[in-house]
Amino acid sequence: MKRLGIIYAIISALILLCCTDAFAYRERKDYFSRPQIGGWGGIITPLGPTASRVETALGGGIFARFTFPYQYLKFGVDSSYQQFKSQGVNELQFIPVYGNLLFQLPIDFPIRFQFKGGAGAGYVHIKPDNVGNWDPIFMCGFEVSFPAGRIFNIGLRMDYFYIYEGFIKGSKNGGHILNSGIQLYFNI
Amino acid sequence: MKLYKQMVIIASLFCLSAAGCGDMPLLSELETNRLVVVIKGTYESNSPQPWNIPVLRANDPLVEDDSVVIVQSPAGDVFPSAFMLDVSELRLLDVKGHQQKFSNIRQTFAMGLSDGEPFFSGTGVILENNDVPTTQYPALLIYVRKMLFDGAIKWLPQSTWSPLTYLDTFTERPVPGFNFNQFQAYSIYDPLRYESYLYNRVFPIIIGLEDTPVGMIFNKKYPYTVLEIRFVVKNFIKKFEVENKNNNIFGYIHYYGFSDWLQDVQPDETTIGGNLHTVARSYVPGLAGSIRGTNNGVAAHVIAIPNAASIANYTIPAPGNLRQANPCNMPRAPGQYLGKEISAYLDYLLRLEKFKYDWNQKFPTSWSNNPPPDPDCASFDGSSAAGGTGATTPAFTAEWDEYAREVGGFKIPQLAVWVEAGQSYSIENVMPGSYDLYISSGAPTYGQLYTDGAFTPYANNPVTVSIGGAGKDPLNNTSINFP
Repeated sequence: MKRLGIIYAIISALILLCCTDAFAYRERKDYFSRPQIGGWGGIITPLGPTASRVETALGGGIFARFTFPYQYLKFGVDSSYQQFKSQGVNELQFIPVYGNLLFQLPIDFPIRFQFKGGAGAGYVHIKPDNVGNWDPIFMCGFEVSFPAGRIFNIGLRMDYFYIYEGFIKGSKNGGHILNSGIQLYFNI
Repeated sequence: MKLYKQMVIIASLFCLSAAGCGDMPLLSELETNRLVVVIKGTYESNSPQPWNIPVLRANDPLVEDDSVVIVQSPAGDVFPSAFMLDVSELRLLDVKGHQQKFSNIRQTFAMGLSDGEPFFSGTGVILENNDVPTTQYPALLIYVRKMLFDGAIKWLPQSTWSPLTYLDTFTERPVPGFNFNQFQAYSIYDPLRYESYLYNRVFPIIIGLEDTPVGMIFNKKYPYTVLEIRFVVKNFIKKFEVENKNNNIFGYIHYYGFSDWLQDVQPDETTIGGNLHTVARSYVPGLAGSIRGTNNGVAAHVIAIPNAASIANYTIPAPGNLRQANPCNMPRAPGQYLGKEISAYLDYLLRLEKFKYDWNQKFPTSWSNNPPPDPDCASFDGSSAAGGTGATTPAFTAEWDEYAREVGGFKIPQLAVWVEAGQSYSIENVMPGSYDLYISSGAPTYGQLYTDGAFTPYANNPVTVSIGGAGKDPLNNTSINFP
C-alpha cells in the first residue's frame, strides 16, 4: 500500500506539473490575442514576367492586427514600401495597402502558425515611363511566430501578391511579387 | 466591437479604392518595347550594294593592306566568311547628360558574309532593349566587347612560312578568328601627340544622333520608334598583319578588320583605329515616308542628306591631307621598353634603330643645305598654310590640324541606297523633312568610300517628304530621276 501511495503521489505530481505548464501556455496565448503592431523587413522578389525587367531587392513594412472574438482569427492592416530596381532603366515601386484575415492553426504549441489572405490596393509606379496608378491587389501568405514574453513576438513571414490589371484595356499580364522577411511585433 | 467595425469599414474602403484605379496597364507597359533597335552592317540604309569582293580575294591588293610586309600574299590566306559581334551594352545620352542604360544585355551575333544575311541585306538584326524616358537623345553609346572575322592565320617562321589557324574566343568558346576590336581603340596618328597611344574611341563607340538639331526624339505616344545603327562592314574588309607570341610561339597573324581607307595603317603598327564608320538615325514607322525614282546612269549610290547640309562632309578631299599624303607624317618612336624578356628587348632595340634610320631618312643632317626630295615638315608651329603636298612650307601643327579636320569631319549619310543602272530605287523610312539628293559617279572601289566630287546633286533639290508620303521636288515630281 505504501508503494501504491508513492506511485499515486508521483502521478499526481506529474499531472500537476503538466497542468502548470498548460496554464502557463494559456497565459501566453492570451497575450498573443491582444492587438498587435509591428514591422517587418526582408527580401522582395518579383516573379514571372515582372522578374524579367526588375530585380530582387530589400523592402519592409508595418502592420497592425486585432483578434476577433474567435481567438484563432485576426484581422490585419498592412502596408509596405517596395522598390525594385534594375541594372538598366527600369524601376518598379510598389506600395500595397491592404486588409487581411489571419487564421492561426488551433494547435497547442509554443510556435504559432498563421495563414492569411487579403485584398486591397497597391500604388504602382514605373520607370522609365514615370507614371503611377493604384491597382487592386490580392495576397496570401504564411507566418511562423515565436512569442517571446508578454510583449514581444518574433516571426518569419512569406507573402505573395498579385497585382491585378486585367480590367485595364491593353493589359497583357498582372504583377507577381513574393515577400519573405523577418518581423518583430508587439502585444499591446 | 467598435474597433472591429472600424476595421471592416477600412477594409471595404481598400477594396472600393481598387475599383477606381488608373487606366494604364503599368506592368504590361514595363514589358512593352516601343523603341526597336536595329543594327546593320552596310553603308546603305536599305537596298545595299551586293558583295563586291575582288576576284583574287585574300591576296588582292585591295584586300591585303599595304601594312602587310613580313608575310606578303601567302597562298594559305583565305577571305573570311563570317563576322562576329559581341555587344555588351547600349546607352542613350539624354539632353541633361544622363546616360540611360536601356540595353544592358550582352548580345552576340555571328553573321555570314552573304547578301542574304539580314545584317548585310539591309534588313538588320534586332537588339534586345528596354524603353527610355520620353525626351531627346543627342548621342548613342555602344559598348562592343569583341569584333571578329574568321579566316585568321598565324604564320610561323620555319623553313618557309607555315600556316596555323588562329583561334580566338567568342561566346566563351574557341572559334577560328581574330578579335580585332582590341586594336581599334586608337585613332590619333599624329606622332607627336602625347595621347597618341592612349586615345580611345571604341570603348564606347559614340554615335551622334542627328535626326533633329536636338538629336533623336523618343516619345512613347508613338507605337514604335526604330533606332537604326549602321557599321560599314560590307565591302569594307581588309587584311592586316600583327606580330604574335601567344603560347611562346613567335609568328605573324594575318587577320581581317575594317579598311584603313580613312586612317591609313602603316607597317609595324598594331592599331587600326578610326576606321569603324558608324551612323545612327531614328524613325517612326507611321510617320516615315519614302523617296523614289529611277537611275538612268551607271550603278551608283543615291544618298539623301538634310537640306543645305554640305556634301563635303560625306566625302574626303582627294588628294587630301590623309596620312600618306601628310608631309608631317613622321616616323613614330617605339616608346619605352619596360619588360624583362630579353628577346622582346632585343626586338625593341631593333625597332628603335629602325625608327632612327627612318627619322634620318626623313630629316637628313644636310637638310638645310640640300632640301630632301620629300616635302619636308619645315617647322613645328609655323603659320604656313596647310594643304598636303601642294603646300610650300608645311608646318607640323597646321598639317595635323588639317588632317584632323578632314578625318574628323567625315560622315556616313543617314539615308543611302544602292541602285543598279537603269533601275528604280526607293529610300525607305524617311522621316518628314527636306532633303538634298545626290548620286555618286559610280560604284566605290572595294574597301573605299567617296572622295570630293564623287557626288552629283539632283537637279531640283530639295526633295520634301511629308508624313507617310512620297518625296516631292519643288516641281511636284514624286519620281526623283537621275539622268
